[in-house]
Amino acid sequence: MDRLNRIRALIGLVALSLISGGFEAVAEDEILAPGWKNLTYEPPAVGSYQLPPITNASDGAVLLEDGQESQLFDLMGDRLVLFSFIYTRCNDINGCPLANAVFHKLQAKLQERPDVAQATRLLSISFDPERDTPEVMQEFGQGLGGDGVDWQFLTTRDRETLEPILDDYGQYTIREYDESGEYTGDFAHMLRVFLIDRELRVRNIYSVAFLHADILINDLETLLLESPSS
Amino acid sequence: MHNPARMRFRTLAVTLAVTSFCAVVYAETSGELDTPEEFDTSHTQGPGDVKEGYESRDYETRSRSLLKRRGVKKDLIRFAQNPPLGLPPVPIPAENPLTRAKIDLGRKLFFDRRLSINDTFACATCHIPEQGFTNNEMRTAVGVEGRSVLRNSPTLYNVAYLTRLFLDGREISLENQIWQPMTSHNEMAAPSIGWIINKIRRMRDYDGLFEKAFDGEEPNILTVGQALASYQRTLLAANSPFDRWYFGNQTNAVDESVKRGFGVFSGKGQCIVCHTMQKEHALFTDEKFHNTGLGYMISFSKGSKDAPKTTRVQLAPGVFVDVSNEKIEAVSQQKLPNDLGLYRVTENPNDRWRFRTQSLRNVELTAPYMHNGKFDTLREVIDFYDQGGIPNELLSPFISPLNLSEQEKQDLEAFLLSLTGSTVPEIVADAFAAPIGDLSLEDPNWAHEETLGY
Amino acid sequence: MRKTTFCTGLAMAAAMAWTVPALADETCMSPYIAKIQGIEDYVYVWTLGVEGMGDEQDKLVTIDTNPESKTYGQVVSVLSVGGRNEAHHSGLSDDRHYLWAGGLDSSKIFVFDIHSNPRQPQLHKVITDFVEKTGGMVGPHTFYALPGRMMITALSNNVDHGGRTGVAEYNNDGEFVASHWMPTDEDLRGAVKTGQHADGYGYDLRVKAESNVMLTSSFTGWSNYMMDFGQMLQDSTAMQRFGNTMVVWDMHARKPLKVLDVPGAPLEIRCAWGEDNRYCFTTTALTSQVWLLYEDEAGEWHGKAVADVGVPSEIPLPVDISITADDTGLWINTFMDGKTRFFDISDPHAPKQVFEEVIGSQVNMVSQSWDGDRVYFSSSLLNNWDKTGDADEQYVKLYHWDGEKLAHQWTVDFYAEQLGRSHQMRFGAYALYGKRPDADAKVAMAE
Repeated sequence: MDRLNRIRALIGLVALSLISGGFEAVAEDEILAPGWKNLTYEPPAVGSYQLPPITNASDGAVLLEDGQESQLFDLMGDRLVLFSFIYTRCNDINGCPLANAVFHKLQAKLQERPDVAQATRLLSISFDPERDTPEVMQEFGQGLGGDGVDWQFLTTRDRETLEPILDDYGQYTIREYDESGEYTGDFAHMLRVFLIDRELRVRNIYSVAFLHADILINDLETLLLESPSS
Repeated sequence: MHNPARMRFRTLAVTLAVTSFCAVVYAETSGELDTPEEFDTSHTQGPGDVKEGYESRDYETRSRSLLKRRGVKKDLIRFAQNPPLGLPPVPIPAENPLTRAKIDLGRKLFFDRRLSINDTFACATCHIPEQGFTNNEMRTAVGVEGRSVLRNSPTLYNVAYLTRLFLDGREISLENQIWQPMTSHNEMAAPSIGWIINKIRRMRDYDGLFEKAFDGEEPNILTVGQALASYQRTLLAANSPFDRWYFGNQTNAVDESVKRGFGVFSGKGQCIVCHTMQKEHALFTDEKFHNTGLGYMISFSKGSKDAPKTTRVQLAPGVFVDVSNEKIEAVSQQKLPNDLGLYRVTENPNDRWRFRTQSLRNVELTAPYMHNGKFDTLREVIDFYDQGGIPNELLSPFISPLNLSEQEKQDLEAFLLSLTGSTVPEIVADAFAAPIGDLSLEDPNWAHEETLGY
Repeated sequence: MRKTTFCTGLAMAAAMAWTVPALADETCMSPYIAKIQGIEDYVYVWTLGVEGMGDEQDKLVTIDTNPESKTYGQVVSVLSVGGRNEAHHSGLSDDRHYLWAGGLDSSKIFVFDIHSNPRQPQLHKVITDFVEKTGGMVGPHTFYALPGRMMITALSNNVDHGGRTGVAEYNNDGEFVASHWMPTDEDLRGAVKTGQHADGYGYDLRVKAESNVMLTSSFTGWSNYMMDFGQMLQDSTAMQRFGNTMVVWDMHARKPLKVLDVPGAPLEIRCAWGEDNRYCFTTTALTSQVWLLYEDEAGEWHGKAVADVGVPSEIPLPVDISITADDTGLWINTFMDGKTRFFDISDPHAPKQVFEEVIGSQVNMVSQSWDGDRVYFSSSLLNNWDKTGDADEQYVKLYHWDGEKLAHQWTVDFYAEQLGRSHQMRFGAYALYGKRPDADAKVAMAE
């Protein structure tokens, strides 16, 4: 798995907490999130459950890998969409790299299920528009995307364009600063991946504890079993 | 679909069903069955949370599904127009003639939790349809914020005939009576009559309903009472096996035990003295006030030297402990006055612990029994009267030891169980179909756009 | 400045559940929410209004818990919400920006913004139509965060105010998503009734994500939890209406799998944090037992009583419990004797009490920091169940725990301050929002 190694290469060092005011820095032995591993339970069968609509998806202005302007809703509605917020410098193994790795695993599954693949689109959008230009996203995506699966790597023109998207999807970010108050280029954020149906409704939200390729493929298939107007 | 309130409910459910799955679950709880023929009566007699046999470690649940507790709208007015066998003609006040529109409106009000101060409490909260329009799950009632009420909730079956309402008889008509539970601090706790009227006027799902039912009149101090009274007047439960035998001359409507039990009831047991009957019908109440000694005993048992020091408390099926009354006292916050019955209304010392005779109709459905819900079973009630009540200087002269045999007691109980009206399932089915008035975003509330307008 | 770790910072939030202990946090919440590093700055106390006291209504009380602060151990803000709603439990949203607090009586849910100014929460939203939207659930109890959502258990229903009820799912905007009804005999909803009981009652909810399992417990309906406690104990009819079940759910499918017999009102559920520790604990309020719910090697879940709490025949009434971050200890409070008890649960099949201390004349909730060093206690159980007279102490107390004994730090007397009855406690911290404490503190001091 060359590509997976490449993702791991992106991970880098685990940051130390840099706490002034009398707190000690703590090094943490990361435990891998379930998405990196095999599930230890049998997931519920495709179509045996419902995914009640949680909320409506939101639109927003984005930039495609080729730099073209687009709207999120131009990329949603025709297919089921898995929508993930990442940034390319991110190196927390259970953060964006997890999201990317799970999408990558899912991609492999989709390649074996062209019927599902044809009805699915993966979108990874950066919340670091300053660094993650369309060119950076394109290059990043080349290391991850594969044949037969529509996986696009988006960014935004600037922070002002991004903010409303982050707000709508409840993606709060905190810039990380080092001891001297310098911005480290890292963001604290809460990993969330959204499953959006063809009627632009959010049907599932996955966090670190729940994000797994086996679940994603089942959820996609479950939604595909619904009649379009359900 | 002439009831706009129901229509609105349906429309809402349909709208939601289009937009989401979960709404399907919601729509299913709207009360009324889409296909009335599906209705089965298993939910109509007794609590959905069946606790029979709970004393034993072997108890098994037989709980019913809330989603399946659904009913069918019935035309209740025909019960009042042509009362079921065993009941006399229904007295209808000249100023409040019975109409379908009023009954429907009263039914809607009856199940409306928004008529209480904090939108939590309806008439139906204490008068639960499948629990005999009383509450089988507690001895004495609790109201808004859990405030203790002195007495057991009375059944509303056949309340149409009563001329003295409440067990101390303090009200004279259903039209008047309704305001007391709605405004009592320990019941629905509405701050005033005007508050209720104002709130109804501001609840959009009532738009036009009063005007339609009352010739253009708005909700007001008369029409609210008249609507609720109209619904309650239709809760007529009779044509019981006993009625079919005794008044309908169907020899096989009851078994021999019931017939013998009726003999005990009207003879050796002397029950009929207070639970009276007429030639062609029977209410099984004289509507008079009697002292059985039970109220006397309760008033003096607290703090008495002879009172038991512990109370048996059940913790789980088959698991009991004796808890010291001191411990119980430590967590008893609500101190209630003693219940002196009719005395509270007259202040005549001779009226202490006198309570209105309750009807025996439908007693199968209305446990626990007596003014304070003291007894769980009819057998306990029979034993109480068999021993002659509780002696006290004001004990009713009609009560004395009966010396009933075991067979006589069993027969008496069989007779009492034969008094359950055959109209009950229909009345309850209709009640299940009624919308429950729960606060929605369109309703007045300080947290909403629409307020009470103060 | 206090600060979250990680590059992706809060991403960690959920991840932390899978990693080694952070420095601080109460351990009684969903592992799928952001976690505090360092000492909590505030404890938010959901407080019941008392007739005849102050403004008589429910309120969110904020206590400063930063030992470096000038107002350490003091009430720094009070936010009244209107009504006595039977304030009970509260829970943080997954991003920890909002605190959801429920009223068991009014079924209202108050959503507080605790991130804009952690020192002074604001009322962000009041959900008034929980009963209508859920199709008849009454008494929102546990608020358990899932990604972008809140699972809310209910205790009762709008038709008989008894114990049959369900679980509601809301999104983070406070909008209704779905109702999941508890299995009953008439409609087991695909679940297996493994014993004698399928009462359909509800109370607490916890998720063991690595097993795809959600567990619910069972208490009693409105009629009982609102009833005067003394009246209820003497009402043998009412005493028949307590839950005797726990339900094992397929978490992802939200479908009940098994109804387990756990007699005597199993209340709080705490699951082990360790990924391989596939078990949870509960205590039964009436029968005073510790129960272990555990997954066997075949992936099947079972329940068994593993210890008594105090002397069950004396009804000590175990209430809140709290499991340590390393899964070796369990705090168990018993309301009637006002004691907290610490159980060694290193062997989950054989918990042993190793410590006990009287906290007050009555005690209900316990919240410990993630490192276990700080343990907070509060006093109120239910408005109509609390003790009377002098025994009706209402407080929040902080103790330090060194593994062997508790050392009292401070007490906020909720009656002396005319606040009411203190119930559930949740922690807040500036670091969660990339903030420094000084900014808000200065504002507050200037006021």
